[in-house]
Amino acid sequence: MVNYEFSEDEIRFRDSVREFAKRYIEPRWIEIDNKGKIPLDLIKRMGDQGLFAIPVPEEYDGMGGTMVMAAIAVEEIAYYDPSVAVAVYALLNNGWPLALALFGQEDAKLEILPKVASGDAFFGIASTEPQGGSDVAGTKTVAKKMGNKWIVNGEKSFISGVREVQELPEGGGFFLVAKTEKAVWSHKKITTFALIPKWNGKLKPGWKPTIYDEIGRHGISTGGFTLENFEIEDKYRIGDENKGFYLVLQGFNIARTLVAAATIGSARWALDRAKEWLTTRKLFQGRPIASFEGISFKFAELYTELEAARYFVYKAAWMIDNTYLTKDPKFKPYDLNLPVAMAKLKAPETTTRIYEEVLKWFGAYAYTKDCNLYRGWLGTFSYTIGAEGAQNIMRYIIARDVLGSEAVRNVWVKEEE
Amino acid sequence: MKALVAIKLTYDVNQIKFERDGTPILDSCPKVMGEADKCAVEEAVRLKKKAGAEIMAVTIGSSKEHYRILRDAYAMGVDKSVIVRTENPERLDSLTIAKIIASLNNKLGPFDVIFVGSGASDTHSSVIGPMLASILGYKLLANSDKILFEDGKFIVISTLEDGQYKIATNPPVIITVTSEANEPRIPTIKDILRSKRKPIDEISLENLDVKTKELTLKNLTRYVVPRKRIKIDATENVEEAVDRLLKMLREEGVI
Amino acid sequence: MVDAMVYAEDISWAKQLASASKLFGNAVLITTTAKETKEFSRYYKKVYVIKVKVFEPLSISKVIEKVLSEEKPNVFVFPCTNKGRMLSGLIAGKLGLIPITDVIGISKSGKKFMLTKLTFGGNAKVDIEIELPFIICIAAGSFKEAEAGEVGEVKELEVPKAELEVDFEPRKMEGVSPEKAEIVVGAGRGIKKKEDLNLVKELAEILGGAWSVTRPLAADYSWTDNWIGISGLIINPKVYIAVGISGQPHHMMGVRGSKTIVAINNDESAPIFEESDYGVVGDLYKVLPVLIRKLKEQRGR
Repeated sequence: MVNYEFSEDEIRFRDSVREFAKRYIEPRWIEIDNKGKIPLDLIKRMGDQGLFAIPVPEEYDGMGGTMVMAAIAVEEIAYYDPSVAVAVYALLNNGWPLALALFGQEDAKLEILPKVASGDAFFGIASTEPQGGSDVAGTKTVAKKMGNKWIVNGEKSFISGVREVQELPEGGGFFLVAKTEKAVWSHKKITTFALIPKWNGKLKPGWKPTIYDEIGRHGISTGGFTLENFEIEDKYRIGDENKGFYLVLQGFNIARTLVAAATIGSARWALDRAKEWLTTRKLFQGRPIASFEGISFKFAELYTELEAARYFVYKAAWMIDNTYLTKDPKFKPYDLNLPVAMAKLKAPETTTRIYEEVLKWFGAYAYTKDCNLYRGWLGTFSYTIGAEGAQNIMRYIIARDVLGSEAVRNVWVKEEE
Repeated sequence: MKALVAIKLTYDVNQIKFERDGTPILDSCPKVMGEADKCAVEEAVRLKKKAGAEIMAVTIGSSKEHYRILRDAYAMGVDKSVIVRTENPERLDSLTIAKIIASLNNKLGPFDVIFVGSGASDTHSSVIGPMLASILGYKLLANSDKILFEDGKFIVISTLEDGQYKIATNPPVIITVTSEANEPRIPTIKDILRSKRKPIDEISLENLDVKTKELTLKNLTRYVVPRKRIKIDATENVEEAVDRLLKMLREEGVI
Repeated sequence: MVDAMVYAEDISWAKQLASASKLFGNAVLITTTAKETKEFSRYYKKVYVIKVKVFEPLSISKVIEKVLSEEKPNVFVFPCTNKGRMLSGLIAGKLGLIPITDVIGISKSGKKFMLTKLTFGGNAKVDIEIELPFIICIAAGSFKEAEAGEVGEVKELEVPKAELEVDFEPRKMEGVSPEKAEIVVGAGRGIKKKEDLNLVKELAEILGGAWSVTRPLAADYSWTDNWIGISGLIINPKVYIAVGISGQPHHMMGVRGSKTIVAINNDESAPIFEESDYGVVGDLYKVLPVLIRKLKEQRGR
């Protein structure tokens, strides 16, 4: 039977992240959301505090910790920045560096990971393209091998961190998904790379970024970029040629777990605010609003849903630890698809439902910017909309894994060989 | 240089809840290393660089949480730690605690400097430091907001009600550290994981030859100064609300 | 021989502690303040004045010990201020006594005494049964100031050489000092910018009182160099007006002795409303200007 409690070290770690977030993130989260930028000094401080690359092995300057600890860190950061910009910055720089550590080549890992761990460089994901995000097999970006390097052409959209890569002292980049040779629709023709458009403070030619204007989660940038004959040395290839599809899906399992952790951290903040409001705001001759069962019963339901979502998150994180970060794996990578999909399905949607209700309880005040609830609502909504994995794709994964792919699969296009 | 920092496991006063009859619910109240104590540990650890000091942390108690705060002290950078084991440390009065720490000075020291927080987060009597100074015949630098070590002397800045004091003296010395003295470092995940493996020496209170007095404490209950608690709503009509306030204050003869 | 010895440095404390010591019998005062000795002597049968240039606790406590050995009191009464606690600890350590701090009530219980003291950030109290001799620190505002009586003797004492090197810079006081004022206005985190403190200062001025801040505004923002709270100023004015202050224990322990507390805060659930007589729920930026205007109008009449 699984132990349902955090270990003493996990509690001490959680308390240290809380202390950090209370001191350095809570006072600034609104300014970060208003200005649309996480100050570089805060990113560096987070690096110094060891909040990036938590599950990455120490030989690459990672913290040598676990996914459970990474999820704890992301959840706590999200509590103190409910717009989740800082939490998302943290989760990307925990999840994708782990994927690089698991699947990348030694030289690239030794070069890139220490700088991500220190907060000097960014490492996220570049998979989505303008014609579609969910259809990874339909990637149109092409990487052509020329001797010891690859020439990449294509376009990526809705990529987090496009501005940060340009602004950080070292730079950084993304876990890139590309087709090898030509853009055929296939799971078997994808190669993944560490795409590093800026390094040593210098921008490489052929990477043309643009930044979008989004409705929430302003602190971290979302943008797109085109690649025009961008050169990537073969040592930055992640995994074997044409084997990238399965690697990026594993990366998504890792990242989605942390996304779920971020949304529940923000939702917990919303519920704590609601708790204060419902118990102290008095109407109709001194009745606290919580005394109306229409409201307290709803609160009870949402509280229960949030706890359920939390169990999904930490179970998934624990399973990831017992797949990749142990000498004695209990699970195989494909065992993670179902629990992660459930966590990523449940957590953002529960968070959105929580925010909707809490906003209603606050009434007209919630409609003002001063109330700040809207920042958490819009920030986390991006994950219900489908960032880091569309919700319906999560449903598809669950249905396929439980009902069987034969009954559930609906392939319209014949796969090209 | 040898330094000792004495820390106390305190109730988190901001989270104490009470039953309806006023009895405090202490069992479920979270316990933490107090604010001033964290600053004391931070100052002690900074002394390592400033003066090549070896830092020992001590607490009195025997629960899991007592061991935890010593591990937290390790995570912040102390070199050694010792626990004085006793079942109910909350029952010990301040004189006994000062005598216990003083006896450690003889047993494990002598220490050139002993750091304590200027006031415990829960009881805040602020007397341990001065009592230690008297018992050991050490100098006292109390309520230190800033601590320097130059040319073999300790120099502290202390802000009291009437102004700012700059006090200097040679060791051996007791320094009490305020919660404004610094921002205690937050241990990183590596610090936390490493601190798990560090040893905590144990001494039982009986072996220390300190006589304990028993103070009879009774009737621990909630204390709220009786106040009128009249609420005036100024969210809609501010003019009216202020008029009401002024009227009430005038009637009471307050203004 | 005397029943009680009291340490105090300002007249309000001297009066409060004179009240507190009545239960024990005769009391003498020892002080380092040379200024108001004539005033002090109206409340104690004897006043010892230690002629210090600057407050150096170790040498001062040595003088106190000497007087103790001559007067042999059963009780030593200190104020619960930083200096009071410090000296009480030094003396207690020397004499092997337990100093009982934050005492809010004293009663006799046969041959023993029952002391009621505050604990847990001032949120709880507990009773201690204790025999003579003992050392206590009294919480501000717990005892009414005593009535003046016959003028007592004043004796000056030389202070021995300082044991610590002390440099002292007195606090630059803008206007009235919060410890002495009858009306004090306190500013908390509800005040968003340093310039907005002008509203608070204006209110204090119109009321003829003093102003100060809570610890975060001094320690974190550095808007002033002193604050009201258990580790700073302890005040007990007639009226304390808390503006944009939530009411954390640290701060409330510094103001509990106030006779009347008025709070202005826009958070209905702020703990300070439990501890105030008049709680105004509203935006201080809207309430203060109206309050100031109306007070001005009233004064104009």
